Amino acid sequence: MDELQRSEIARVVPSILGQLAFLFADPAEPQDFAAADGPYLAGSLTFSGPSNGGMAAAMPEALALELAANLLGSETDDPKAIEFAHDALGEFLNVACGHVLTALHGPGPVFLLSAPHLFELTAPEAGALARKQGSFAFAVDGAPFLFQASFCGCCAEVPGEANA
Amino acid sequence: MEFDILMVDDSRTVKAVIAKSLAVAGVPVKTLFDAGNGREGLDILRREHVDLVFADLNMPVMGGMEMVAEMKADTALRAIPIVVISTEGSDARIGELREKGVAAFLRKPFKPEMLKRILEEILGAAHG
Repeated sequence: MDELQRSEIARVVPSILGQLAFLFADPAEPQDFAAADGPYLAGSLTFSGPSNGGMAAAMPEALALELAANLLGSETDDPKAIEFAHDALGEFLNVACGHVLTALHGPGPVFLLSAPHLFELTAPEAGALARKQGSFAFAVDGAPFLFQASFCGCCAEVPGEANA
Repeated sequence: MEFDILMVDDSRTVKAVIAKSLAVAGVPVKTLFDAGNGREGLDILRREHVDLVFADLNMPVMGGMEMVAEMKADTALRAIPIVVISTEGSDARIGELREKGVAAFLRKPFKPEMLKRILEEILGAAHG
């Protein structure tokens, strides 16, 4: 991953999280992931176009619930927010990926994004992923949030069956 | 006047956000249909009255571009306005959508007031 890719991801991902769900992310340390309680709700997708690769995101269930509640304009005890938490994470990943690709390639190229594949990670698994190349660690009100990207197979592969 | 609206998206969250945005914008909705892909959307359109369609692009089974093409090729469906809501950022793809006759394009993330403005233009002042 080159410096432009790193800097744009570090800028765009928190920006999208803020615009989409009014959640504000600060940089965090990879070791924060293994220390937090699991499970982590996670999602991954692949993209193809002028460049190919994949992106993934993972966050503790409570943060995904807050994401869903904020997207829906409801509270975290809203049954709909609880039901939609994982889907909301997938939607965030979809939107973030689209904006990262536009930031890197401009509005010219056409990219095809796969549907997000949703899965869970234990805290140790999230911790291991956070230490891999292409991973970005953030914190939202102290809750760790992981974003990972790979371009043209030059970074660690994005987890999940979508990339098997 | 109340409107029959169809949402076509494989994300339940997005459809819930659209429904909420319609309520916040004060759009009078009689029936809110939802479909998980373009094929399901076309099935609904061929049996129900629909005043407006919200459609995503990247969906399984049948995507939004294909659904739009089929709607425009069908004399019974071609006049129904379509608003595409997508993460799509490519000028070429957006241009292609406009050429196919899509009424409007909203890039995610969007604010409810953006949705309201578009609906006011498309559906007229009837919904206030």
